[in-house]
Amino acid sequence: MAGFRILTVGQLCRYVKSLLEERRELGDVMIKGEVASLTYKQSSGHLYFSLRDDEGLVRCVMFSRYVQKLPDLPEEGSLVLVRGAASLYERDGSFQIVAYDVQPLGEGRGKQDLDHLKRKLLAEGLFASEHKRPLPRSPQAVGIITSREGAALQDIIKAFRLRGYAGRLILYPCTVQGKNGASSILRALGQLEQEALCQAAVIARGGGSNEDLSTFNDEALAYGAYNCPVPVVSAVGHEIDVSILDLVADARAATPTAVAELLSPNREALRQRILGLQNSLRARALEQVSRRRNRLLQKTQQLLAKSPRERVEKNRQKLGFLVRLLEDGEKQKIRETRGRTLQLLRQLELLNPAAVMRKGYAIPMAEGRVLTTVKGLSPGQELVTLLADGEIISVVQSWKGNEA
Amino acid sequence: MEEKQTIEQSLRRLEEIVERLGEDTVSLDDSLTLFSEGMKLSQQCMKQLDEAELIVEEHSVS
Repeated sequence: MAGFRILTVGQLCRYVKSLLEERRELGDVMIKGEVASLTYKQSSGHLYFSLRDDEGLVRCVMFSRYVQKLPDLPEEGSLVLVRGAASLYERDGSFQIVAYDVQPLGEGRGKQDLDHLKRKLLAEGLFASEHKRPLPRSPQAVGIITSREGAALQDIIKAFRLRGYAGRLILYPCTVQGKNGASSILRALGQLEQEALCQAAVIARGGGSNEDLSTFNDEALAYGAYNCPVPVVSAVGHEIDVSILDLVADARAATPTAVAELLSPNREALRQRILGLQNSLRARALEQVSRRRNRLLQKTQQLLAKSPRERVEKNRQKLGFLVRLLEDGEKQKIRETRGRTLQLLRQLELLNPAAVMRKGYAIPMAEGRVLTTVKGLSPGQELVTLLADGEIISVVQSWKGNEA
Repeated sequence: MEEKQTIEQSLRRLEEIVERLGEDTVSLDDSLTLFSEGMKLSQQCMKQLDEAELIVEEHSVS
């Protein structure tokens, strides 16, 4: 390395910075451009943004003492006139404008075009939530559409690995910036669709570096993502701007971790889901069996309740009862009959002539017949009078009838 | 073309089986068949889950 003067990075940056700041014509310039990537730091009060047009882009910083003088903060996408000085930010080695003033010039053309495209796609329903497809819960393969060299790819792979994702991550390499970005992404998406291996597609871009979103605001890309047969996740990696791809995609992920969370089930959660299904499988199979057993038991009980044995037993009891009833009736009748007979006998006793005679009555008889009238008797005729304890034999002297 | 079912496909079938098993109209024979299919499927899922690994590959875009 003889003959070379060796510089530290700091020395180089300081040198270039001094070159820039020495140039009088760069010390106070007016630049026209569209505002992009606007960030207002609340803590410091400094304003950071980029100015761009079709051909280039430059970063700008405006310190708080100048920001305070602005009636309004400039708007993202608006066309402005910036007054400031060219300089270099040593820490990043990046060329920048230190701005003193910002004046609005109306909306930038890019912003107008973008708004027009957004309105058109909105009207066509490309952003409609009912057209958003649910993401697969545990895809077997996920397609990653991004740059092979970008940080996004490694970050996403790492995030999937950390989550215990067990499946294929298929990279479909493409360019994610510049003029050809959109068509390169579309070609990769086409390859993914043709192979039909993936259950979801992730369109990703590395974090932070480039604020140019025009690649992802492309109309053809919007239709491509919308018509993709599998759900598309936009992982363009920015917080402030929303690209058209973000609006069309089925889901939007701000970080690689968010991509992995959206598309890979936690392995443990999956295990729990399987175990849960196994448990309900056992419980339900058991229930099918026990439901039948219960029905069988119930039917058996019903059958037993209707068995003839039961009826015979019941009838036997009834018969016994009837027999007893009959027997009782019979006895009662006999008792009644006996009572009646005795009574009759007593009545009969009362009518016995011997009994009457014992009371002093006598029965007169003539010629072997009981006399019931005096008529027909003749004097001298033999008369026998029966008394209780014997008979009187007498002769009729005379007779006379009762006077009427 | 993939011959092996994905875990998600298996799980969806498993959910269907559990659903069916909960119905009153299913016959005893069918419920036993469903049960054994379900158990086989869930064990297979578990095995697949344990054996699966992250594979990263790159496909060229034509």
